[in-house]
Amino acid sequence: MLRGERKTFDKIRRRLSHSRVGTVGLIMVLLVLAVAFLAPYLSPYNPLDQDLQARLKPPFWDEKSDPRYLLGTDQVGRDLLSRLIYGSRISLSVGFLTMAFSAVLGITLGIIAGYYRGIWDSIISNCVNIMMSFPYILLAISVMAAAGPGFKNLILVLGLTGWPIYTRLVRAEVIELKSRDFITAARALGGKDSGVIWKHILPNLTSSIIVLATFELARMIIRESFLSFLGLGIPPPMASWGGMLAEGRSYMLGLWWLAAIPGLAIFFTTLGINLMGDGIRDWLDPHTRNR
Amino acid sequence: MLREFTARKFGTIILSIFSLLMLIGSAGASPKGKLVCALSTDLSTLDPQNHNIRVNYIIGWHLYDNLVMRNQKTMKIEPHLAESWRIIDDFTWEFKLRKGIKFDNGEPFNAECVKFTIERGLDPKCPQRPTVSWIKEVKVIDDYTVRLITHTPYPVALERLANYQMLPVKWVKEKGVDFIATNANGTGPYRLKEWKRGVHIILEAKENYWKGAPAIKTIIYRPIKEIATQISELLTGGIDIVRDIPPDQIPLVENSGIARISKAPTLRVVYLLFDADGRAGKSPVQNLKVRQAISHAIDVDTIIKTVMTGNATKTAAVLNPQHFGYDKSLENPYPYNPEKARQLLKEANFPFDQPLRLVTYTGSIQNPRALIEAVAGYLAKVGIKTNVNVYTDIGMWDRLGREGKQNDMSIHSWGSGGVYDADALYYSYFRSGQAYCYGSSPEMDKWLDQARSTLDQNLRKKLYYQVGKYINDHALAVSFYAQHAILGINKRVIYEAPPDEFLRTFEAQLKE
Amino acid sequence: MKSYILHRLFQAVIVIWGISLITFSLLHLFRDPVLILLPPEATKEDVALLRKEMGLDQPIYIRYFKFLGGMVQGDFGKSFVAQRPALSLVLERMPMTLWLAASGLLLAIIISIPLGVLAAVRRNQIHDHSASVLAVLGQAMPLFWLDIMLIIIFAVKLRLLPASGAGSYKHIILPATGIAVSLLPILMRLTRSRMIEILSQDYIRTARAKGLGERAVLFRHALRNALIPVITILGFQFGMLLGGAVITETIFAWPGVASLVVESIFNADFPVVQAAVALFAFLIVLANLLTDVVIAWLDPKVRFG
Repeated sequence: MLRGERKTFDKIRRRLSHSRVGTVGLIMVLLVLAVAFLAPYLSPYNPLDQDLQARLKPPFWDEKSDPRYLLGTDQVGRDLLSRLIYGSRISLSVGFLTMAFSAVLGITLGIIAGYYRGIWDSIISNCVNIMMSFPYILLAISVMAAAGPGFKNLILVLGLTGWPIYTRLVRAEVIELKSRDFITAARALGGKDSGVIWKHILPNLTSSIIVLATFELARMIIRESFLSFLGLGIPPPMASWGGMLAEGRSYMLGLWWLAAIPGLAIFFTTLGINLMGDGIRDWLDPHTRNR
Repeated sequence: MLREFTARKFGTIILSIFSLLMLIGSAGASPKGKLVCALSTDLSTLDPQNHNIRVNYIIGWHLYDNLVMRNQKTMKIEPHLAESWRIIDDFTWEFKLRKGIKFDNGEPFNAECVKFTIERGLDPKCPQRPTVSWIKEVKVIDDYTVRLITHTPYPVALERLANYQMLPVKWVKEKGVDFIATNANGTGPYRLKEWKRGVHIILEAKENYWKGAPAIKTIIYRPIKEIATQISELLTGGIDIVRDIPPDQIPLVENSGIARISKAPTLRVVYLLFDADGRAGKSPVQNLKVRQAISHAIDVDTIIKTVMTGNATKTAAVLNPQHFGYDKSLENPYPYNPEKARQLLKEANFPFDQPLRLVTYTGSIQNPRALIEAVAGYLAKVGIKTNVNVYTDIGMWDRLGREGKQNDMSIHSWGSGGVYDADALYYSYFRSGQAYCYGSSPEMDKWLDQARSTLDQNLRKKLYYQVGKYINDHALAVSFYAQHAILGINKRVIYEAPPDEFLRTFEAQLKE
Repeated sequence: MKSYILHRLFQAVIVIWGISLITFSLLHLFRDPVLILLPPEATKEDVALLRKEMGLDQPIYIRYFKFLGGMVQGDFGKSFVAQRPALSLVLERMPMTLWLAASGLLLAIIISIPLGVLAAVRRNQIHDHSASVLAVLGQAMPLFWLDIMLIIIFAVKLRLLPASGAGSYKHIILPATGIAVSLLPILMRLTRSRMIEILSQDYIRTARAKGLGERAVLFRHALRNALIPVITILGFQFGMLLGGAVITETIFAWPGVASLVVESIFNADFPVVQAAVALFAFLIVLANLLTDVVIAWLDPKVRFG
């Protein structure tokens, strides 16, 4: 390694050790990502294979369990462990894609509002206020009713409910940045607006956006389970953890593991994401860094 | 003089004692105790005709009375507000009404009330119009005799009248429609004590109910949407009756110590309907061989044993054994045979790369997700790909059905509204022009129209057999099963599950 | 100051109008109450007749103007399902939801503020980490799961509290706990970061240098300023509360307006949905307005910025 690189490596290592919480979170998230990527190798069965005669078998610690199915089976005899493993793919992809969609939309609108001000700012700010006071359930139910169920429409709906928070943040930061000297200088030097935005504004937004996006990722995973609760989630036979949880909720008294196991998976993942977010924020935020 | 006086005094005393004894004897045991039941949705209105929701009917039966009533134990129609009836000619039914019955406010029940209530239902805006649309005219013969003139001979008249609550004409006209939506004035066994929307409805027993005071003094119905919460309340003694225990939770309730399970086969049938007419667009299921293949591919017996945990009864040509018109010989036209299914699909040049739409809805079907996924699983085994969806949005489901957009395959259920007759089901689903009809033919139309306008039961049975056979031969539907009502009842309550899904808690009793 | 309030009031009206427009469009374009109200055996003529009676056969812009006209007078029409004025139906159930939200919010504040302060003061120590984890619990599990768990533990297993319904003080405990847990993360996190920011600022160092006790520094200066963004958050968190209220009310059979709204959406009961959404929007906008005005009054920078 070159000397320069080693210094950066040490710097990163030092900063990481400052935030133990963040590191723990990062490890948790990496674990879940690994499961999602390696699903075909880890999963003992095809998550879609039904075995009606062996439905609702309890997990291994129960005397009535079936030795073939470690964590038990679901309503139509599918292996719960396999569904759990593949479910990670669905929950994570819903989370990431939704986050990306709302982030791109929200950031763009926020930059336009904050940089150009004037009429655009009024329109966009009012839209943000309206969206934030608007019951997103109504939006979700209507869009799902019109567009029909499905993975793509779910991303659309969740994305449409998630963008205002980015816009609000970005707009405030852009306004503040614009008043700073180096931006005035850049513009005075005759740079095009888009150039200024790309080269100077955007890089300074990255830290706050990354922190926000991380927490939003966790929130979107939870929100997806809420839509599943209303019956507007991923259609069968695919199942996200949120969907498995919503299905299993009537059985929490009695066949409790049907809800507990996906619930634990969601808990572990979102906990990890949140801790990681805390860590990133502590790492990037100049105020809280040195103490 | 003295002797007369004493005699009279003596007579009066005897008479008084006799009256007192009669009074005590006729009053019977006074209503006592409290019963709390859970409902999955809240009551929408107290107006007996301005709805078509089962929950409203259940409360309606407590507050108001029908002309005739189905006995829960014998399942036979019995006189209720109507004392007797006779058929005068093919188009005329005459009912003799019970005398001396009064509504809560003292208004007497008579033929005018019957005329008024039925004519209310004939309004095109009334959600219960189909219950009385067969009636052309109501003639009041005298205070306690009323004649119903029908458009055509209508065989199912009594069945329909077993679920149509009678209103006091003067009271409704005086108070207006808006008032009766939130107030009750009926001849029924209970009166309305309090209705707090979303919280509870409290019913209080009428000691002087014409049929005899009910056993339980106070009945409370609470709307609770989540089944997990309903079961929690059952297990902690907060609720005494839960109407729809999921079949897989039966052991939980039976082992709880505080509640027990009561089951009864109901009228509600579950079946898979094909868009055989291609009403929603071109579809592979328009091909008879494809439908037959799918019928062979689904193992209904295993589904009944596993997904329904045995709590379901097999049906024939979509009909429930309890339906008039059911014929056991029509059962199982396409036994489970996946090889035959694959062969038929090949013969039909089935497009294996094109997924078929397979949908159902939540609400009246028990465990719809497990059912539809099991069906999808069987279809996958013979190579048929499916796009599955379970609608929790009943409004959307209804709309798709009526607007002819339920393509490929949809799983339906039909409760028949307590009408134990094939007409209730067949007409709506297999008569062309009806909102839910996706598989029809001119022959079936002829048979169905004929069966609904004759009083000859033998002829009707033959006609319905022909319809059933047609459905089987043309695989217009895959018959699954008839559901069983599974109730969770607190051990201190004496009541059993009703086979027609109408909870008659006014007949319940509490253990001493 | 006056122009600021006027400006905000104008914004508020725009927001309420925008919300009512979007709600109206979503309802009238995507839902149909007529088919829901009639039984399946109804004929096409019956359907058309009822549609005409309900005024739903007219073009959408005419319907909208009629609705707008009614709305400014406070008349949202009669509920299709209950046949009663929609607004009175909504006003009847609103207090229960407000009570639920307020209790949950209060509980959340009582727990999160001290927790946030503690985490800030004892940064990167065990207090901070455990507070982080504790707070995050609220965002790491879906509210409906938490609610059902609470019922199972406290009602069924421990028999301490009722499983559902409303009526006594016992009934509010579990529902409010659910709501509070869902609000904890954001409140705690915000308090913590604001406290950290403030504690490192000059005037705090000055106060310390002056020799003021640590506790006085904390309470008199730091806390008061840290609360400002928290109050701002409360304004728009109120909107998020509706989502949590829907779940909690459904599971606990809590007779509030949130569950009524969802039911009405599925039933295509337009008047009730519109009345509820308008009322909620009004309350949220009012809450935001009040908090903004209070903050503007407290902080001169915002007033003239």
